[in-house]
Amino acid sequence: MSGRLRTLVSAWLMIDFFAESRRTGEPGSSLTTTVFGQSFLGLILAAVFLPEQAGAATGYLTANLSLSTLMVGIGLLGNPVRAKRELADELLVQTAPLPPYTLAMARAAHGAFYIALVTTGMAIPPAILAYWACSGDPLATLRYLAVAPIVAGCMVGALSVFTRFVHLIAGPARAQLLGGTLKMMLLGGGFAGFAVCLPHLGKTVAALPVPSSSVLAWPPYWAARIVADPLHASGFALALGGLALLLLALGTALDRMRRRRTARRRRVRDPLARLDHWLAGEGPLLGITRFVATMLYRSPGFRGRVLPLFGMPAAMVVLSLWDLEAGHARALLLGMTLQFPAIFLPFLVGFLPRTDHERAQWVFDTAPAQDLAPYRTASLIALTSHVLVPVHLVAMLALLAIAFASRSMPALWFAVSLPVFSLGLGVLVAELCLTSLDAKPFTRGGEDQETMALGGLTTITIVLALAGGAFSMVAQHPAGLLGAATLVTIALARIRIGRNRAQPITGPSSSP
Amino acid sequence: MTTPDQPPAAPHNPTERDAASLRRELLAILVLYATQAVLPLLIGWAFGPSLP
Repeated sequence: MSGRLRTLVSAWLMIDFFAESRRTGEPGSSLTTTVFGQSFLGLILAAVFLPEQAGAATGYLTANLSLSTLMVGIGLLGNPVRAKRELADELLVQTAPLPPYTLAMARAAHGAFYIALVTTGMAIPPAILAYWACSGDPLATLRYLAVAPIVAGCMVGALSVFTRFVHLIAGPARAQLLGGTLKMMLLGGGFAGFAVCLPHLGKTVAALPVPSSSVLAWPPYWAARIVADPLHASGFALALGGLALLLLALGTALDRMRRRRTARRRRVRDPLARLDHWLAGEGPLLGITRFVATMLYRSPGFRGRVLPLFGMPAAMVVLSLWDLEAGHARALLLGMTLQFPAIFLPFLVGFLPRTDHERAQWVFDTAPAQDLAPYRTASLIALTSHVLVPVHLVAMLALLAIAFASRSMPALWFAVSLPVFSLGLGVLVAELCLTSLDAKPFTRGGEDQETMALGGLTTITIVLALAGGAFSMVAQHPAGLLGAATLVTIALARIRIGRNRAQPITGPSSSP
Repeated sequence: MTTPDQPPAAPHNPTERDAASLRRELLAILVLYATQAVLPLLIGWAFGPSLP
């Protein structure tokens, strides 16, 4: 058995044995107690109903096999912790680096071991007494020990296929409710069946006070026929094997459907979040990026302080679009106005460490990276995807609408190249501003850090406004688009370099 | 003033402790299986139907 498989199986067995007793604080294992109790019940039934004459074994064997099968089925159903355990299990194995084949093997090995462990305790007494019941056939003991776990496994398979199906179509709560109802039916049906049939153990199926078709449809009866007379029970052996394979296939298919549904539900649909994925890749950098991006939109303090800053440039954009006839002057104004998001980036970065929640630092206290490099890169990606891209996308759509309305090719070039240029320039400015980020984003509480390092803001404003104005002159030509594309490529390359610099935190050699 | 030497703390490894607990429970179940095998042998030998 491979290491991973063994670890997984032993972890599940640990939960089987000790989860309940440790939750309630009791010593020992609840599973061992259950196995002891059920084994005792199996011994009593096997001893009390041992037939007085050899050869009339089918009824006796059916009763014993029914007991062990029902006990295993009842143990599976109606356990309120089971649904939670399945959910936790799903998270455990989905985050583990396991190939699906190993996982399926581990599930099969654990299921087989668990069922065999629980059933064997109940199967040993009737299996040994089957030697006397089957006229001194020592192989009957072995056959009994072999088929008892199989028929119990069929019961477990049928019940779990049924509850999984209900889980899939009606949800986990209804599946759990139905599990409780099924448990009641098994208990009641089992008790009634034993009460009616036990006095008639030595008789044939036709003599029983229940319809013979219901006995023929009961898999423990098939197993009893296999144990008692294997030469004339090939049909029953085929039916039992086919049933086991069918349930295995159905269980696997339902499991796959459920996992596909879970995966589908977890897929990111937000296009901005997809952009984060694309820019940040995987691992801690993506985690920090998603945190910063979410907080950019959700932090009330950040919205209160930062959003008003965008009011003025938005008004200027609207004003510049108002007068459609102004030509070059309008292009110049637009070129300068579209640099306002980049001009305000120092404010955004200055407010970035602030949080509305005291002691929010704990979010990153256990993070693998404690140096600021990945936080700067993540903030750069989040500001790009959640501030610069949406603003310039809206600007581009508005300019495109105007270009289509005026049916002019230069206007079309302008509508595409100016926002692209502004985006690229904004990313470079954001990277520059983030070098002054001195705390993890959204973690610093209180108002003790009121002073912001905004030195050089005037210089940045003038340089950016000049750059925007100058670019607006060439933006109406294809060369402008080429320049804008080059700038955006450089900006993306800078993000990629930052990402590669932040990557070592995902490696095993990182310092804690 | 020096404090007397404290005995070293018992090794505290949850994984090893859990594995030992699991082995103990499986051993207990094996002992149960053995008992379950002996009693029916006696019952069958004493009260079982006479074999042909």
